[in-house]
Amino acid sequence: MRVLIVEDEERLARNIEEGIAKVAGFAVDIAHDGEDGLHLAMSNEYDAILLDLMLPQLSGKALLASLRRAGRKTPVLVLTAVEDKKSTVELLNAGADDYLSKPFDLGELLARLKALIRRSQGHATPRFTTADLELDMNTRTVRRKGAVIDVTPMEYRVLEYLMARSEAVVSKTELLEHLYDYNWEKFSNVLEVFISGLRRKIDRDGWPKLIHTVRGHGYVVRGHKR
Amino acid sequence: MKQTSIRRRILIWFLLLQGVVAVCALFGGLLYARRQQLKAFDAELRGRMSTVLSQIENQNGQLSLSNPDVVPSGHLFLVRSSGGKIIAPNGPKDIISDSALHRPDSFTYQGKHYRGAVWRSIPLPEEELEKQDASATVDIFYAMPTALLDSRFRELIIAAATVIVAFLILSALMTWWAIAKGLAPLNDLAERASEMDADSWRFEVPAQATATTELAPLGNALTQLITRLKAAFDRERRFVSDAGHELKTAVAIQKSTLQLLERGVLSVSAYKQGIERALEDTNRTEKLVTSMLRLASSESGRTSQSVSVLIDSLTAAVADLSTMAEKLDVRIVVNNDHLQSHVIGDVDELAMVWRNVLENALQHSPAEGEVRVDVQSARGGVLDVCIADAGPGIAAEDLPHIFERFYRADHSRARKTGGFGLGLAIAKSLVERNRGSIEMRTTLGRGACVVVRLTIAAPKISVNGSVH
Repeated sequence: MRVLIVEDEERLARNIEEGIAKVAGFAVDIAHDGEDGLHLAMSNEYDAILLDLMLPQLSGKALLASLRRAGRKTPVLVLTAVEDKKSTVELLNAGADDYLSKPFDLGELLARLKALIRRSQGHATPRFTTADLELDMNTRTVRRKGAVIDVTPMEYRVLEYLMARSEAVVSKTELLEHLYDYNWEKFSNVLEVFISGLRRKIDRDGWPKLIHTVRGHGYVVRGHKR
Repeated sequence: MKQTSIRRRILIWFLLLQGVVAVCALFGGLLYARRQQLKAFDAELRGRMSTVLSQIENQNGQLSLSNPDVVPSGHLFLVRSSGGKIIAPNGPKDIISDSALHRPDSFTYQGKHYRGAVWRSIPLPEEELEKQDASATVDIFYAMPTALLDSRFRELIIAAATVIVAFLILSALMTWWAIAKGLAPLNDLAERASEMDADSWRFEVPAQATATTELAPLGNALTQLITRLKAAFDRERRFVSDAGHELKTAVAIQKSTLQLLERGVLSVSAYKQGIERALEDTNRTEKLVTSMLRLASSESGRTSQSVSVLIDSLTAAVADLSTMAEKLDVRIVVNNDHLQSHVIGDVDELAMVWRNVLENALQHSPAEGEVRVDVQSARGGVLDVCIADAGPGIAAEDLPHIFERFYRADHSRARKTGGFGLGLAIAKSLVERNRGSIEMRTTLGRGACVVVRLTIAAPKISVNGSVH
C-alpha cells in the first residue's frame, strides 16, 4: 500500500509517516504544500491520501476539488483543525471520505486509514481470505491452513496488495507503484524475487497453488477451483 | 435608570408651549374684549348723561328735570347745580355716597355692582341759559348696574376657555399621531439594526431613513460603525481560528511524537531520541504560546510615554540575535548615525521590536549576507530606523498582509525556521503602542526593508541631574 501525506507542518508529517511506515508498513510520500500534493496525487497511484486543510499555495479543499474533478477516486482522509459541523459536511460533500480533527490519536488515524483503504478495495474486515490463505492487516500476519507463515516485510506488502485487490490480476507496474514511495528506484526484477519467496512459503508441500503468474499481465492470488 | 420617551417628551413640551401661547392669547383677547365692552358701556353712559342734560329745565332760576322718566329704573343718577344744590332725582338724596362720586368707575350699591361717570361743570344748553341768569353749570353723575356686562364677560371667558381646552386636546392627539409618524423611519432603522448579530452582519439603512435629513447621518454612522465592527470581528475570528489551528497543530505534533514512542519496544537510544524530539516539540509549543500571549498583551496595553536612547534597545536586540546570525552565517551591520537619539518608546518594548524585525530579516537573508540597520532623521521630528535584508523580497500580493497575525509570505520556509507569522504582528502593535509606525518596503529579488518610524523626544533629565 502507498499513502500520500499532504501536510505543511514537517514535524507532524514526519511523525505520521513514521507511524504509518512502522505500524502499517505502507510506503509513504510527503508533500508540504497544496500544489506539490496535487501534483503527486495526480501523477502517482495512491491507496489513500491524508490531507491537511490549511496548506500554503493551494488549500486542502481546492486540492480535493481538483482531484475529484479529474476523476480520481483515491480515498481521502482529511486532517482538520476546524471542528464545526458545517465545514465537516462541506468537506464530505466535496468528496472527502473521512476526517479527523487535530490533535488526533495516531492509533485512530492509522485505523481509519487502513479501514478507508480496505473498504475502497471492497473488503469489510481487515482479514482477507483466498481459499485457505488468510492475511490480517491489523496484526500483519499470514496464515495458511491455520498455521502462521513467516514472511519478510516486503513479501508481506506484496501479498497484502495482491490479496486486497480481490483476486484481480495486478500488473507489475501497478504492484511497484503501490509498494514503493517516490524516492525508490523501481526495478521490476525485485518483484520476481518477492513472488518466488512467497511461493516458496505459501504454495509449498504440494498444496494447491494460490499465487499465479498471468503471462504478459502480472500476478493474481486466486483459489484453485476457479 | 428611568426610561424616558422622546415622543412623550416632545408632546409634553409641545403642549406646554402651546398652552402658554393659548393662555396668553386668551388673556389678551379677553382683555381686549373687556375693554371694548367697557368702552361701549361708557358710550352708553355718556349718552344717558346727555339725555339727562337735555332734560334740564330752567324755570325762573329753578333748575329741574322736565321728564325724570328718561332714566330707566335701576339706573342711578344725580344732577347738582354748581352751587351744590341737588336738582334731581327728587327722592331721598343720600342714596349716593361720596365714595361713589369720587370713584364712580366701580362701586357697590345695595348689593349691586355699578359703573358710572361724573361730568363736572357742564354748561347748560344755551336756550335754557338765556331764560334766566341762573348758575351756568351743573354736575351730572350717572351709573348703570354692570351685572349684565359681567355675566356676559363670564360667558365669554367660559366659551373661550372651552374652545382652548378642546383645541389643546385635539392638538395633543394630532401631535401624538404626528410624532409617531415622524419617528417611523427611526423605528424602521432601529428594527433593521436589531436584526443584526455577530453571525449576520447584513445591515442596510432603510430608504426612508436615508431620505430623512435627521436620520441620514445616523444611518451613515451606523453603516460605518458596522463595517468597522465587522472588520474587527472578522479579524478577531480569523485570529482565533488561526491561533486554534496553530495550537492544535503544535499539540498534534507533540502527541504524535509521544504516541510513536509508545508503540513497540524501542532501543534505549531510540527512546532518548524520541524524548529529545518531544522536548523540541514542547519548546516549539511554548514559543507559540509565549508569542501569542505577548501579542495579546501588546495589543491590549496603553500607549507608552517613556523615552529611551535608541542605541540601548538596538544593542540589546543585536546581542540577543548574534547566535542566530552566526548560525545562519549572516552579519548584522549597524550604522552609527543617530544612535544616541532619544526617542519615544519603552526600551524593552523597542528591543522586542528590533528582535522580531531582525529575526525576520535574518531568516530571509541568504548565507554570507548582511542585515543592515540604518537610522535616518526625517521631517517632522521623527527618526526612520530601517532594517534591510538582501533576501528575495516580498511579492506584491503579500505586502499588504505582511504585518497580519499568522501571515506567512513564504510558508514552507517559515515552517522550517519555526516561525509562526507572529513576529512582525507583535512588532507592529508594539511600535504603534509607542506612538510610532511601521512599514515594509521591498523590491522583488532585491531584498526587503522594514522601516520603523519613531518620534524624537527631548532628553529627559532625571532627578540626579544626569541625562537619561
